[in-house]
Amino acid sequence: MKQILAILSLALPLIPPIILLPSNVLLGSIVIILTASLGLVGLLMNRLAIESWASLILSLIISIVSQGYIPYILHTLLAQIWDPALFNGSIVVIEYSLVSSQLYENYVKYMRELSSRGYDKTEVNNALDNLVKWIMALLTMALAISLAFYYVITMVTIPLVDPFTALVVFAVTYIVISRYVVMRIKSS
Amino acid sequence: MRDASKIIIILALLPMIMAVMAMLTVSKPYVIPVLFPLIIIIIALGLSGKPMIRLSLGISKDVMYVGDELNIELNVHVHGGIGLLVIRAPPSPGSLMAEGFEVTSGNNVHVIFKGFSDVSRRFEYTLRAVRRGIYRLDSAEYTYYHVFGIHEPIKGSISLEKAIQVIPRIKIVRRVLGIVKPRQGLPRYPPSRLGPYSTEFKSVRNYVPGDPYKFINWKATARSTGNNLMVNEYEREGLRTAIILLDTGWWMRYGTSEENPLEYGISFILSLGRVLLRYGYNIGLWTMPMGPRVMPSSGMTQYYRLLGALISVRSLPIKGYAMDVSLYRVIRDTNPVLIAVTNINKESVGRLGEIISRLPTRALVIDVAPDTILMRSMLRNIPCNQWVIRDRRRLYGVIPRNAKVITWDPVCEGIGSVIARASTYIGRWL
Repeated sequence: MKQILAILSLALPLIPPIILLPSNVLLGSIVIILTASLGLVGLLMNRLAIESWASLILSLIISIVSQGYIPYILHTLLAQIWDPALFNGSIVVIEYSLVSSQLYENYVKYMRELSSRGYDKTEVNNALDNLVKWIMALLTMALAISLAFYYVITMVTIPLVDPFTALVVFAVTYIVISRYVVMRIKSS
Repeated sequence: MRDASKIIIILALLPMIMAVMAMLTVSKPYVIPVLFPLIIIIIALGLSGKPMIRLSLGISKDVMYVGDELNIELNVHVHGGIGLLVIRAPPSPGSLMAEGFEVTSGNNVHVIFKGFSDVSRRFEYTLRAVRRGIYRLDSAEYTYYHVFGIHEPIKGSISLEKAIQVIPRIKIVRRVLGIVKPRQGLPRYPPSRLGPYSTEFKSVRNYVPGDPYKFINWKATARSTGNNLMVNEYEREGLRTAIILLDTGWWMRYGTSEENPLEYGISFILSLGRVLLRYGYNIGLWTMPMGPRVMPSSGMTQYYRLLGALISVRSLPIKGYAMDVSLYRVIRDTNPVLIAVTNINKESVGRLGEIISRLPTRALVIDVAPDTILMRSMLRNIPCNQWVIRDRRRLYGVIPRNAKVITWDPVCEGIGSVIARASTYIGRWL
């Protein structure tokens, strides 16, 4: 599972820049080279999350300057995206890779720590493999649910809710959930 | 494992960032990166139940000899929760038991992943006793880590009341050729002074340390003009007495933790004690500078008293000796042969000589030389040509003339042979 985690962590952050390639070859290539180089550095340093974070930040910057309010205010498109919906949606794979890269780092760390403390290497490997399998299964399930939600949202439109109202509704829901999570972590 | 919480914190931050992005770009597909982390958090919260962990431990025996193996069975049952369970069964690192046992097969530490279904696992491992002592199992510890680190790791332990007694290996000497048996010729003291107390009253005298409390004569004490504690003195039965003096100074640790003069000395004392008790001797034990003592007596019960006292003896980082006053009284009363078990070195020889010269009896010093034990770990096939004894002869010059020294190199010479050499003197003196 360690290898699969490494492959996912290195490959998934490259998907948004690849989507960018047909519309802007130069920008797409630069982002791919930059992200892949950081991925290799991260692999050597055992910090695969660097690539995911770099890809996320670059993708968000490209997204924000290519569509929405900023180009509207500036009256110019700073970057051209061939399919903005696909590009924006593909950011979810970076989130997926963020979690898998964190898992990879934890896997390596625990493997090293537990083996040095006399735990059986095969047993630790099996336990960590099972843990990773479960987390990956839950992540994939969460991804599938998100896509299903998106499909429902696109099918059932609510014209009365403007983006700002939606954001306020979301922010309130988010704060309630976040407080509950923080409370659970602190109280345990 | 706190890193697992890091994932949750990242997942909690991402939706807000994505929501702001969704608002600024007015892009509907941003709903997917907003929902994805939120759904993971909701799933994690749904699975945040705490597990019920049951551990039980079974041991194959609770009394064993040094070198014997102990089989341990660890049963684990986990109900509820999803995550990693890290278990550490005895011996725990740094505990007394960890010093006395080594794992020969299996493992006492385990990692289990607990999914949706209950987990019941059985682990077996084997420990080998390397040092004598009484070891408490103490506890089996566990730590449970939630799959997403939604709550702090749950640490717990189960207390194990069981204790394991590790007895030192002894050499059973069946017969010592006619030397140990006390000579039937004219003794220098009447036999009535040498054995255990009989019921025949002899006199009333002042109490001295070491007198049994049951002999205190309260009426005589009340009548005493000087407020002295008075005791009844009884005639002794006709047995010979041998008093063993075990050195527990720091130099008795020279060697390894399993093989050193103290461990060899204890094996020697128990083996010799068994022989002498079989021949009807009274055996007493004193440790110096401090530690347990066993008043002289005879019979197999006395052997178990010696064993009980010696099983937990440890060498102490104390230089110099302080003698027990009751030892002088017992020596004066019983005229025993004194057998001192030590490792003679520059630091101890002066004080040892001083003590022996003050004791009104003949002494036999068993000098357990650790040199070959130490050399064995560095060199193979060390010749047993008594090279260690040559170095020690100068030190023996300090020992008074009423003492004989037997040098014992435990790597080269067995306990049986040393007992045979020691019993030559014992038989001659008593």
